[in-house]
Amino acid sequence: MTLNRRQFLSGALSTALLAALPGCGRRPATGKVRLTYNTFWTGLDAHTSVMDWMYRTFRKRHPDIEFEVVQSAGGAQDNGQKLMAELAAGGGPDVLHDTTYDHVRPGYCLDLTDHIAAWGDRFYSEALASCTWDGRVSSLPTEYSMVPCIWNTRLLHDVGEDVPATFEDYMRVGRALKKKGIALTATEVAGGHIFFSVLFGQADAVQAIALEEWESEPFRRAVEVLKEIRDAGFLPKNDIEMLFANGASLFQNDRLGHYMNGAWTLMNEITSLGVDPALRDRVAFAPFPAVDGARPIRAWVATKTALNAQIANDKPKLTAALAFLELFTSKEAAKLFISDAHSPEGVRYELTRQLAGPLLYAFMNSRTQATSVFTLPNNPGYFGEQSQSRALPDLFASLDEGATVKQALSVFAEVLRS
Amino acid sequence: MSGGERMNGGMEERTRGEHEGRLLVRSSPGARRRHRIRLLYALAFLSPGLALYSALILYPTAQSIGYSFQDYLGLKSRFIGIANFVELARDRLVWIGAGNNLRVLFLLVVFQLPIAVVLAYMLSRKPKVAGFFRFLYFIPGLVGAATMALMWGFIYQQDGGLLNALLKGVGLSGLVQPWLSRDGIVQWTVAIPGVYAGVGFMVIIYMAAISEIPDALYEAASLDGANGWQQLIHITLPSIWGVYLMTNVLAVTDALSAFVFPFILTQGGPLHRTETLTSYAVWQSFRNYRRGYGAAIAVFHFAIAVVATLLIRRFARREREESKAL
Amino acid sequence: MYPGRGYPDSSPDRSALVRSVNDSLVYIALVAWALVAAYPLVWMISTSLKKDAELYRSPFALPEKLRWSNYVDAWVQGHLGPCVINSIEVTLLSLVVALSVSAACAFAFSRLNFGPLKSFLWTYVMFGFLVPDSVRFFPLMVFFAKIKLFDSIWALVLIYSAGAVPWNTFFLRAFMEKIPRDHEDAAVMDGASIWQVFLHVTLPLSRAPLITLATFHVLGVWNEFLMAFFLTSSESARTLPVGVRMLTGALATNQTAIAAGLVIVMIPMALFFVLLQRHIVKGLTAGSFVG
Repeated sequence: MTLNRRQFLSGALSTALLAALPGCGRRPATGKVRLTYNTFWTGLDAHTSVMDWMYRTFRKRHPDIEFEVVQSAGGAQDNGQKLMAELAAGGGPDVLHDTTYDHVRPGYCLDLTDHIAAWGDRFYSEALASCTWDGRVSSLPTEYSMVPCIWNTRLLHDVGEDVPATFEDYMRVGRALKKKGIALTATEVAGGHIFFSVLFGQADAVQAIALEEWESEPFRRAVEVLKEIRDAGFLPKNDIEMLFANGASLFQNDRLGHYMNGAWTLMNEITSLGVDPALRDRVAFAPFPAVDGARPIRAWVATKTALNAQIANDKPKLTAALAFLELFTSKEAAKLFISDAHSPEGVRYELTRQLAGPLLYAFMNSRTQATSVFTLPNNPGYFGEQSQSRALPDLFASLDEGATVKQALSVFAEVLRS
Repeated sequence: MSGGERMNGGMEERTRGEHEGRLLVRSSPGARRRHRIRLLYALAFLSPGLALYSALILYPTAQSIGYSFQDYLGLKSRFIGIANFVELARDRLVWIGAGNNLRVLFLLVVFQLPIAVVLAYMLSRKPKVAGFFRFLYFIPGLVGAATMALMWGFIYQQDGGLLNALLKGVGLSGLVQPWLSRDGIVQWTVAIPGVYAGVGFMVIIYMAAISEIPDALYEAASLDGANGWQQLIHITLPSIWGVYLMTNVLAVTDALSAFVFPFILTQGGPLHRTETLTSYAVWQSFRNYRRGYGAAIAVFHFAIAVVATLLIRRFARREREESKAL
Repeated sequence: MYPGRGYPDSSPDRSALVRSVNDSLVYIALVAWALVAAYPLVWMISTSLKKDAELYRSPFALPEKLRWSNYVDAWVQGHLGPCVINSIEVTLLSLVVALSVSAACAFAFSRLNFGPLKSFLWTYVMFGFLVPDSVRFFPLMVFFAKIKLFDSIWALVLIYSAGAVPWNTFFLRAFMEKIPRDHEDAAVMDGASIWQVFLHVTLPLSRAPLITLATFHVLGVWNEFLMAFFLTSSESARTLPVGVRMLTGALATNQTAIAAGLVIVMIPMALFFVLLQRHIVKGLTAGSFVG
């Protein structure tokens, strides 16, 4: 078989056609301003319908802007990693879906303070405070919720218990569940929140954080509680290897007593595709009963949407991006996030029972059972991110290996100091 | 084969000998001009390859080396000399990572390759069913590392996972473990899927090598009273030794670049127990935001790969020289 | 093609009993490994047709009711269609580029004489064998971000092609060295240009190693994960391994649907192998690979 000219030419032609194929789906060259946004709120995620509305509305109102959304599933961790890699490579989208202090510190996020001044008082002050470091607002609170315990009432009922109001009740529930071979909770789905609840249930916590005394009493107490729960055998045997999805799956199948998450979990885990439809009727929401009668509840800005600092000098793009953010945090959007996504923003909007539906309403109303509301302070800025993504996992792992409170605490402190 | 060329990576220049086989070789007036034309032709043929290679393999490597001497915060960097490498030498996790790479190598050399050889040998004895079994063996290798990793995630799962279900089913529930977290166990459990998936591929390679062994050797041996096992060891193995060595070399590079399984199964955790050199470099660069240090780890990884390959080359060359001398 | 028309221990001294015991042992071993290799796939299929609760209850048993909706969910939510197309495009395009570029290089190294530059360039190219992915991928991200080809098929095509150059060139050159030069010399004497010689004589003669390299290339690129993961995100560029990875995010807690997604990805490859088995095996073992 020799390649005669015709065969070669046809081969080259089909290759060229194949080569053109990927080009078809890509960006047509227009003179418009191009705005890119990467998000993992897609597919089955609770926010998808509202986001789709937002994209449609934005495109209709701004026909001169070419708005490109990259929707990738894969969860927060993968996307966080990739976003970081892209930003470090000098690229990244224009609108950053989910940022933390880890993005602010290297300067990837555009300073929004002056730009939003004209928008007025549209945010809850605590929510906006969570997005402010060193006095500058670097992102906007697009997900803001209480974080109560989500209890499986059927399991509680089966062991003759009710939603625990004190820590002693909590431990008793754990023992009762353990007798039936059911785990009370799991680290990945509640451990961090339990830690923070116990921590901030103590008066001197905020000060200890500000002074960066990572091994002081409030922290010690929190680790002690975690260790107590673990040593009592209330966690699954393979606890440390579980991902959030594993724990949630256990809960959905009546094999886990409680977990903790924000309101978005309602549509993501409680009423989502493939889940027993009756699950929503056997959940109850209550603050975590920390020690000494304190029942604090966390107010959490879980998604902070920011702008890529690189667009600062691109006037048209900057204007477009701000317009998008403005729509994202408008009253119309806030309303839809409550009614359709069951995941409120940090934007002021009254949450009535009618608008939110019984589930979300009960969820957010767990606040009334709390003795206090706390947020993670932004001073020092790295505390939130460092502890959540690095120090706490190492803390849990060392507890899993059988460390004492002191040892585990020192692991925790060491990561925070590095 | 024309005189003197060795198939050992092509790094040796051919010895001058007869049959240089070069096109258009004529000494004549105008030879210099022709030489220049030849040079141009050569460059025309070489340039796309050289361009791709230089831009996408060598240049990034050089850049990484550059990064490894810097400390990064966001997009800004400052030069810190060899500080990253000093830290690397003291970094426990780098050695844990290398240890995990070594575990993969161990499993490959001690289990995967020998098992593949034995299976290939047995299949060569049973030509009628060989194709069918070969297909079955190759299936795990087909599906790709990412899919296989997720599948093994299901297998290793605590509740509802295949492994624990099997153990409980045969009454060995005492052996049930948290396969993906217990220290000392998880390092092996994340290494197994890759080893498992590659067996089929090796079986195919070995079967082809074995097929070149003349029947006469086997017949002679069996007439001498050798059983199947002895024939395997004394006839088959020595005959395919070259191929076997080569697959061991491939195993070294495979083990060094292990990444997908620990990354997908355990994200290198818990507590970095299952990191490999590559996954640790990724973690440092993008989860710990220390790009310079991550690059240093990658450069270290590269250095190990270079040293290992050169050592093996030297070993292989000595082997060949010794066997030639026999 | 295979030896062993008879049994290895066919000497008359061996009793029939020992021979058949040996035989059964061999079969037992072969079947044992076949089970080990194939059963997990079977188990995944069974898992994918269950409800999540069933999986926890009875991981072994066959599904109570065949829940085909898992497959629908996996396909729809996982957006696997575009991933397959992207993978096909990336694989084929990089294959064409890699082979043509490497063949040209191998031809140059093997057939053309250009003085001392040649051995230098050869060493230059062979150096590439030693470079692992970990040291390349981040600068590559920076590079493609700068030239605005980030998150596109072309990035992967170029990267895979470049990565294949050292190995392909080495392999092809070794093979070309063994081809007698008579055909090419004859063509030259007939007045063919070097380009024509390459195209019409050398390449066709190199069909066997080209097929081998193509097989290796397809197997390697189709399943490649590291580069694809970091260099693609959107649906217009995502390849199958990345899509599979994202299944766990898209389907979150719906374990059995994730299993269905995995099966969707696995079956076509198995089918592909069944249909093309002979060619694939020939490709892997042809050329000058063995011996």
